[in-house]
Amino acid sequence: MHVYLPIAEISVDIFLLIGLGAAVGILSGVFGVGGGFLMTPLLMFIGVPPAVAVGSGANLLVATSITGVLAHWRRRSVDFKMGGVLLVGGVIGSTIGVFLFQKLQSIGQVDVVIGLSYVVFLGVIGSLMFFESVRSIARKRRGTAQRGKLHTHIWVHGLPFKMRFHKSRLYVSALLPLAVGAFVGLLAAIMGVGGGFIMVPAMIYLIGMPTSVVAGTSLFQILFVVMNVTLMQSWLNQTVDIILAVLMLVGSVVGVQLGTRLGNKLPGEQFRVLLAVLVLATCAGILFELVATPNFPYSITIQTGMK
Amino acid sequence: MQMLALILSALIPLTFAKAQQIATDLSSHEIEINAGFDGAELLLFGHEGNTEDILVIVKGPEFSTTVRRKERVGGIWVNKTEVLFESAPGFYFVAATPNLNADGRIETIFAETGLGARYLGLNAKTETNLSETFRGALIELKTRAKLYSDSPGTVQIRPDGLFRVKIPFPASTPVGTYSVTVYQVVDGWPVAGASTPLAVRKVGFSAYVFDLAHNQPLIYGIIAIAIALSAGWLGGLAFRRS
Repeated sequence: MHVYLPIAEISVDIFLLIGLGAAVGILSGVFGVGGGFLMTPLLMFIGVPPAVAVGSGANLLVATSITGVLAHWRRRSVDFKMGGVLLVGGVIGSTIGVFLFQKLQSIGQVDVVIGLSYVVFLGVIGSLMFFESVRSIARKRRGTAQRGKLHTHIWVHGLPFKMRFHKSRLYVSALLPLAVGAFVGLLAAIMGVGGGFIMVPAMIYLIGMPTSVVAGTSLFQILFVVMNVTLMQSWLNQTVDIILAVLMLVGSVVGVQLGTRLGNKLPGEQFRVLLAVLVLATCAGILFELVATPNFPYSITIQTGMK
Repeated sequence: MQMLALILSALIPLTFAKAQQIATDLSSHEIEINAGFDGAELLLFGHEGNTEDILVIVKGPEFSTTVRRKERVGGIWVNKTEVLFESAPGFYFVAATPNLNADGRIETIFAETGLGARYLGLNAKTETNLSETFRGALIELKTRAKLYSDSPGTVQIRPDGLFRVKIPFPASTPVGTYSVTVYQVVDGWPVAGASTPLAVRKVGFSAYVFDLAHNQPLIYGIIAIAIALSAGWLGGLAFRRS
């Protein structure tokens, strides 16, 4: 059964969209990631224009992140003050990102920029995740879990405008979360992702937040960033397809719950390796698209504006 | 009296056909793109007196269209060269009677008049030596998307002058005003006969969504966020209880 997407202006099988949403939902339930990094390329692959894939993806992420934020809120694992600073950065970054996206689209370079961003970030994160989890499996086998240093002093701790974050038990420069938030916001607008896969490591290793509040706080920031992207993309570029987002949402709401239940039954470390492999495979697929000689190097863009 | 009316009603279309040489109509003058739209097919039918060969052209609204070519830069393929065509039809369909096709006359007509999809006179904003290649690429891409098609030989014509042809529209058919023109081929040259308008428009819920997105983008954005927030909240709630 086909459905006509009024903004994407294509006709797509309804069950394909729901299935896609469910797959992304299961993934995010199992691994606790947003899944945007898989969703956006998949949408483009089925023929949704890149701009609409990014805009509607952000809209879908609003739904998945509110569910997560509420769950973490109940468990009191959100550092609202840290989240607030992060989201100020995020709103600035994502607003710049939406304008940059518009500019790149008008000169016809948006696809290649999206592609390259994916290759770089998925490649780096995937490899780090892979080695990290392989090492921790090996460590567990040997049974010699060693504790790292509690606080390592690096250059970022010398920055001015220090702020106290009680929940995270930190006293760090506000510039740090502001910059992290802005960078992730920029990526969110251009790549159509929440950016959790960048933010979580940045929060742990760069800002030094305790892992207990990382997931909730990053989701809190992501929620506002994707809301901002949805609003800006709708307002400036008209690239948010509500029908597309709602259909995928139906799948993802169910998928997340299934995934969460599935995730509790599965061995965590082994599954981290699997996620890393999945991330690296996506990266390789996109890289191949960029490097392989296209069978037809031409493409057309229609200016749909008033004539 | 009744007899006279009958004769008259039979005569009117005949005289009409004779005066105009040709009379045509479409099975519908409107294609409505609704939520379930997955392409459409219209039937153009008519009658022409001289049983000449017939050419049918359906032309969609024109858009300014940019053609870009990917070139290898530092190992990756990047859009590098571009040519702007200020008005390229979003849809173009040509059909002709089998006669024209059989003896190859159609190719001559296409080439000489520029009526065939492959010969469309698209003008680049600034003509360079690249224009020709890029024009070809535009036509090729539109043909692959089934938006441009040369379908010679698909107009069925009966000895008494009744003709019909099916016009296929893909799911990506652009919205706008179309013109459907029937040409009679006289001495190897097409002469424009009857022309019929056709409108492709979005209707129902998908039209509403599209209009809202373009006319009230800020409100649209807020609605999009509100839907997602409530769906996410309800979803979480429903599964927490169970």
